[in-house]
Amino acid sequence: MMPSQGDSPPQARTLLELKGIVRTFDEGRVLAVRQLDLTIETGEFIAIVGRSGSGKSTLLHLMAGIERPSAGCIRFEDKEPRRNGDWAALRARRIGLVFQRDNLLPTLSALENLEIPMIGVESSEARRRVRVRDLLERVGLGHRADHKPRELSGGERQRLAIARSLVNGPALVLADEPTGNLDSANAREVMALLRSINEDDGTALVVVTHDKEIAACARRRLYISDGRLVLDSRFPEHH
Amino acid sequence: MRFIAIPLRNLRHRTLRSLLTLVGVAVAVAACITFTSLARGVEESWVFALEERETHIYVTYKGVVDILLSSIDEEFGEELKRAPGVRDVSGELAWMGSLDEGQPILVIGWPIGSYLWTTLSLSSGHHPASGENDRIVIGASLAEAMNLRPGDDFNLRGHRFKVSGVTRSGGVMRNHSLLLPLPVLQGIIHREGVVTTFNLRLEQGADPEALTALTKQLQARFPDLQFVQASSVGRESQTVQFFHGLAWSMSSMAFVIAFVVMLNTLFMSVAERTREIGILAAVGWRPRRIFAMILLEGGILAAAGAVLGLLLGHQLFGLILRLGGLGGFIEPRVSPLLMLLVAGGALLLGLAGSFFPALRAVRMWPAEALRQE
Repeated sequence: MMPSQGDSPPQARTLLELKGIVRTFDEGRVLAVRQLDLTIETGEFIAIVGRSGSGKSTLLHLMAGIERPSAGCIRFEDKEPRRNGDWAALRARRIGLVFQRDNLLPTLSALENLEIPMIGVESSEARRRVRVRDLLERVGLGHRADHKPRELSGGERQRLAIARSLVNGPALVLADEPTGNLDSANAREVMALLRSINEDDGTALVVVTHDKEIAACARRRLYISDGRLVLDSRFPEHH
Repeated sequence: MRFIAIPLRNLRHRTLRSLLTLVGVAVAVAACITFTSLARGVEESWVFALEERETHIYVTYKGVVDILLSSIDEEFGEELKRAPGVRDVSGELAWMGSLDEGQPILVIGWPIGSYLWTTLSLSSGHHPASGENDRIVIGASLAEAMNLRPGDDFNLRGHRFKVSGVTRSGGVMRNHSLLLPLPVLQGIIHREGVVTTFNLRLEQGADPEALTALTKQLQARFPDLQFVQASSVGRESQTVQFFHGLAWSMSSMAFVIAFVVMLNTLFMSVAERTREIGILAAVGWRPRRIFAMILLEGGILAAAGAVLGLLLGHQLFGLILRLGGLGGFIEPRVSPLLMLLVAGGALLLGLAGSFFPALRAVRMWPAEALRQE
């Protein structure tokens, strides 16, 4: 269970550590992330804020290992994954990812979309089904299990994408503008769901957002400007 | 949901393209099976026809491309008979003609009294005796097709014959042939005094070493003629070599086309699904699993194409025999080993065709794939 809000978890340990991270594009002409150092601990709820093009999403992609740093080192739970396959193995079990676009597979049903990350992780099809059904119920989509993504609303698709990020019980969920494409009602539902993941399950949560309301929910806020971490604020209580 | 369901779903999602690729592989397999069987059928029907008539050495005019065009003076027969080790010699005139109905037919002329007549397996009647120049022996398939029995009349290019016997052979070519006395056929086709080939039966039988030695001796003595052991007629025949060459070139071409089609299909499929592949990587699919998924797509297409191709090949063979007028002369020789080899080749083609697209898919980092629309 999570500790009371505002306190550092008593057993908090380092989950993710970034040291001197640089990410350039266009053969070094565009500097997206510059010499960034950051440590994330278990159970944290962090919002990454900043203007468009400031490097927030790139930073989140680096944390997830779906982007390769140009320089620096990233460690996850004291290991330093380098290859694409090492990162994939981490994302399969320890890191969940949520995007602004739902990024669901259009040919698969809601239930099958949730099963996809479990293939190769959980060998029993029966156990996979039980886990997936539980999660669908949790995100309020139990009755939509056999529907294809195109048959779901924007909010439902995003809730399904969040469920997919949780399916293998990750220690860290990284969400890139998860409410960016949603109306305010759906955005509130999605944020409530993300908060419950952090508060009820103790899963560390990092959210990239433009939304001040969402940022205010986080106990730690990272301000990114021009690829640099300009401010790292911690708040004992929710604002 | 099992892993195998994902590539199956991907293929089904692009049904038309998958079907077209599958047809491409099937055509390659069918072409390979058909032309290879055709070449083997030609080879085997030749070899069988010679073995059945107890011929050890087959003599043609040197350098002739088609045996039917070979032309040897009949007088050579006496010289060949004097060669040591030769027990019997028989001239043979072969002619590919057509019946009044237009049906192609192989007509063979043997001298009356030739040992070749005694090798015929007659299901009814007898072979022409001395002085019976208006008698013919007819192959069983032809007899059945034309409803002919010994004693019935038969017309060939204005000449009237009586069927004296019906021969039933294990070889398809013989069952579709017409046999008549040599001088009569020479007269009909205006090739008096010549034969297309000589059949040699040796005293030592088919002892391989003696056969090889005698063949060399005869070849040295008659440099204008070509001496070929019956067992290697198939290999050395220009006609058979032509069919084998045709089979090889058509099959290779078909396989190259199928490979390009497969490569194109999977490259396009991977290019269109770059984002989907990025999603799979982002949710934790390792590169080797994505690689296996694309390889499986190619493998499934190739396997289905191979099965369809094997069925199609059987039909195509029948069609070629019907349209080419070859029915009755060649029988398909489709061995399980050939089917296995061709199907295996198709599967390899599928895997090879999907290897590079798969490699391309897994070399990309997920964010790069996700940035693509």
